[in-house]
Amino acid sequence: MLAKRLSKLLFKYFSIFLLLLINSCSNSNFYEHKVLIYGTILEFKFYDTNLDQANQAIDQIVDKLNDLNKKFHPWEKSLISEFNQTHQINNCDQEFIKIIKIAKNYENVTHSQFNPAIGKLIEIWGFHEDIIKGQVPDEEDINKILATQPSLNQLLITDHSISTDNASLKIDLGGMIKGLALDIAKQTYQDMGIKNVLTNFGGNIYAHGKPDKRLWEVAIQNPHNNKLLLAKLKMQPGSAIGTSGDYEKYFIHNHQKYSHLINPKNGQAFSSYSSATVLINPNENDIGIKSDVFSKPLYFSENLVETSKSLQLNHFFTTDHKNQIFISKSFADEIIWLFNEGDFIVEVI
Amino acid sequence: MKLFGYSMREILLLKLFKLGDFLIFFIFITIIILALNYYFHLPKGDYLEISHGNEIKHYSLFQNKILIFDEIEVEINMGKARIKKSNCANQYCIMQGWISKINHSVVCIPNLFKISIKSKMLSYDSTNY
Repeated sequence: MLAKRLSKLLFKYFSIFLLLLINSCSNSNFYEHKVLIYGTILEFKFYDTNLDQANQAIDQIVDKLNDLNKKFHPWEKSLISEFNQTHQINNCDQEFIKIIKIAKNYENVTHSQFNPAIGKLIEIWGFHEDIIKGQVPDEEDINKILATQPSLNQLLITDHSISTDNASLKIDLGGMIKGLALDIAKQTYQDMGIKNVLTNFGGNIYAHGKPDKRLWEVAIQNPHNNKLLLAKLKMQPGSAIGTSGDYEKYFIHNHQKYSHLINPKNGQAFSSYSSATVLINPNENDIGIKSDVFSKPLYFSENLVETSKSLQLNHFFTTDHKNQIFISKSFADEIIWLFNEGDFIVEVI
Repeated sequence: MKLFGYSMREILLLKLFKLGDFLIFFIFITIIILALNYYFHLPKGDYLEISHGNEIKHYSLFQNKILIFDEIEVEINMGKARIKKSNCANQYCIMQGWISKINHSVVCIPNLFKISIKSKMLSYDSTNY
């Protein structure tokens, strides 16, 4: 009798314990998937989403990005590389023209601090090749291109064609294509009724919905050491984050680091900052594009307060080569620093 | 000592326990030992999370600092933290002493106040670079 009672009691608690243990180890509500698209990792983390629906969304997004690649790859065979050779193409579809117009708009919004017409500068710095040779171009060549003031405003755009008289104008949308990909992902989720997914395309992240009762949490890489983390933050549903820096694609020549980000104002491949991060709040238009594009003017900014004001940016920070971090007040309130004491000095601006 | 009205001697003499019961006891004890072993060998944390009312704040653990939240004083001392002073009646939160390992917490229920040790390597969904 006693043994039975004891056994029953123990069995009951043991079962509850096992259930709790199984439940705590379970991660079944999440579905993660990675795809490599033109050398960039596209990561998805779905929460509470039907597996077939998630895979269908991934396929749709990948198809659209492959299509974009065929149109906008700046040096491999594409519509844009054809334009960059001939300066005129007549077989553009509606979507192509729409994207060129978006790029032109953001060139104007950023006062040409983001300039997709400086493809030729990027090319002479040797970043229009799969393997970076590490060549520093002649100042004379840089100045020749700068003298023509390449801009998408020099394009003649019709419904099916684009052309220009500026022979130094070459289009490179590398500065906004990752953001555009996030906007395509966002549209796909909305069309398919997918509620909660975190999308990371080459480091640029869009938070769609949230996993259960918490928010999506994102870590930011330390620009001076890719094995360490700099900070962590919780992303509101519908927000996007992007970073531009000199630590992903660069070469070193005579002890000087040259990044693939070229300053449109002086044609140089270095900045006083090593990274610039922006967080775009929900409910803004082109949230992905803004998270990608707006980090460039900050990365090359000579006055962060003025630059951020002109872009109406509230959440941003930059890190410089002297381990200083300059962060906006709104962002400072939300971010959690993860670096060791003394590694960086934080200044709220 | 009596269990369900039987003394331990009676329990052993009457052979009330069968092999299955001992098996369950053995599993339970093993789990308890493993859990305690895990608990005492948790890695050290990186930062302190303080929940005060509806607010959650974070502080690096690698500093010497005294933080004051109304009537509560929290001390951080190079990798460990404790509640140093509190106006609560029983002072249980102060008796808990120092904490330094991941997920260790001290709670002061009357003040709705909690300090927890967290790790930078845990709990994030993706990395921005």
